[in-house]
Amino acid sequence: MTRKEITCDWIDRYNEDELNEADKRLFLKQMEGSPLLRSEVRLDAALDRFLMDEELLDLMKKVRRASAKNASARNTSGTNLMSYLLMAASILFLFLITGLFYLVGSEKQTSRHLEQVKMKNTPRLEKNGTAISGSPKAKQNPLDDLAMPLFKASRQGMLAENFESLPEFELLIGCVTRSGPFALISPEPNIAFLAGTDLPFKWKHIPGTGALTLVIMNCRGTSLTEISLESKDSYTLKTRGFREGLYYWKIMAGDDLVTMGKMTLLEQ
Amino acid sequence: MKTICTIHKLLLFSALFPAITGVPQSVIGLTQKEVENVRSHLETGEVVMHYTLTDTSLQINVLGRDILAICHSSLDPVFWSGIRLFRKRLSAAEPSDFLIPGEEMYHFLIKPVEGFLAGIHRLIIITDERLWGVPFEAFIQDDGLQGMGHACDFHYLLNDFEIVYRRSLEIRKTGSPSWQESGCRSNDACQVVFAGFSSLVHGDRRMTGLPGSGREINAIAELFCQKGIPSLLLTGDSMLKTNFEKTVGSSRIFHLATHCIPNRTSDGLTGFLFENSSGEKSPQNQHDLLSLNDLNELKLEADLIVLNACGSGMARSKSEPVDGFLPQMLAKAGAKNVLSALWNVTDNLAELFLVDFYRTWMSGKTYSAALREVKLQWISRRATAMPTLWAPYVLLTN
Repeated sequence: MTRKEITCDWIDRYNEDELNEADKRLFLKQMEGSPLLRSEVRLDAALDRFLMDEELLDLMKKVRRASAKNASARNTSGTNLMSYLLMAASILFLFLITGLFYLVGSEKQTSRHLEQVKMKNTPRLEKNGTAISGSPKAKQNPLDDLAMPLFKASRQGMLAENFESLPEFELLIGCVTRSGPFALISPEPNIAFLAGTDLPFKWKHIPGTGALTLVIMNCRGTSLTEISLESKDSYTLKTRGFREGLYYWKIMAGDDLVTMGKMTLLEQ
Repeated sequence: MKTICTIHKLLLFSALFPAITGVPQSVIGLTQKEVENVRSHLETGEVVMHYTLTDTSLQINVLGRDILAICHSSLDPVFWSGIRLFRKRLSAAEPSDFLIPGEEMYHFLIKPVEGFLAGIHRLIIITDERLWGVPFEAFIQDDGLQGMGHACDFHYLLNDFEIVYRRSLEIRKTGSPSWQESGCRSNDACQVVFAGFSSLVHGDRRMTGLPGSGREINAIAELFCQKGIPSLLLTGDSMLKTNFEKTVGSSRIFHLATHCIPNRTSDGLTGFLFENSSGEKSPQNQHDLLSLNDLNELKLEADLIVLNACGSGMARSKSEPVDGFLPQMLAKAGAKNVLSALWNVTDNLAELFLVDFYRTWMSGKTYSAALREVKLQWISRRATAMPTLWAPYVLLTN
């Protein structure tokens, strides 16, 4: 039994109590020896509980019914307080789902979903030259009518998040370490510029005191790329392809931090 | 993992030790005299955790006044890669990627003997060179509550124990005194010496000035002044190797805040930066280096030596096969306590941490208790909770 087999299938079966006694003992023994596996099991169980929550499923059904009712009653009736409350509840429900996906490391899935919604709702040209918005299929699913305003609201939320600073890093910005022969000449430790602009790094360093690496991180501290600084005293970082937002950078000598800074990229 | 653990009660220990354990003395690795010596110097509530490692096995001896536990387990390569990863995640300032490695370290090095630590408040860690540089304080207990929280939410080993390190089982009652016990006298200015690297950079732009070191030693000197204890400040043009050599041998507390220059090839090129004593400030000859070779010749009486410089705890002499790390060298030379940093520290935060340390120590705590309290304060604030900032400081006590 490989570790991959355990993590992909056995976690689900363990949480759903589908393992036989022998397999369960083996799995528990594996869990005992691995904190990572224990964390994965906990997260999977939490996700299962969330998705199996009947009250939430019931709420979702009510939202769909209310949306369908709204769509037909929009031209004939006035405002309906209950329908707005149900709409607000559905927005909250979708935010909770998005937050849960974020917690289990599904950031990529969320952005792929958003891209699909965006593509569904971008204008396209019919064969007769008439431009229409969205796809025909989208109109058949009442939830997709809610997706447009939800998409806009959540995208704005995502943009705001992209600029949120990380408290753990703020005290390290522009830091000087007591490690000797390294002095950063540029860039400034905290700068803002247009995305796509090149950012030059220059420094003074005494060779033989550790290989230098430039690490670029997003605003949550996740490493995006590591660049070995082979040149003696300069490197130009190309920010083409970077989305707008706050990024941190750090220069490492071996495994040790030498200095850190941050840069805010703005859309052109 | 195979575990063989035995526990003995105080009254029966001496008489029945060989019979109860049924384990040959050679397996335990300690003579009976060594065990009795250790136990006689321990206070209630503190234990020695003595680690002996090979490539494939780990033995943990836990010795307390009424505790003896021997735990032997096998290790696989995951352990060694886990140690490297743990240190790297801490020294590289990765905000949450140290959670899993921290839990792994707890699992390997503490969990096997966890049951014997009930009622204990102080751990005295004795390791060989393979584990030196691994900060036990930052091990994380997996109590299921961490979730995906921040560094300030984790349950560190430090939360439960005061931790000090020793270089050997020769335990004497010198330990870690409080301010009142330290014996600092008000009529001797040279008993407390603070040396800080100048913030002036004489045209050598490869070497950054350290304004924080100047503020640090002035702030700490002020704290001592408030207690009526004068101190000697070596800063600016007075921060010379010659002044260091004149004062370090007779001082009770010597505090050094400067650059630590690492060099893996030569003891003569690894050391601490001082001002150039020759008076000539050419670009090629800006500074003096207090090298490991120089430090190896010292005779010390200091109660406390503080090396507030990057990686000072990991500077290592190639000519010393045993006790090769700088804190161990200084302890062997006579220093009773050595506080050093295991990886790079930033100038401003190093200043804040050590000022907090001295202030807390002067409130009546021992060195180890003060160090723990400052670390817990830093953990309580999200901005300073990352172990990169507080975990490098370790206290080696002689």
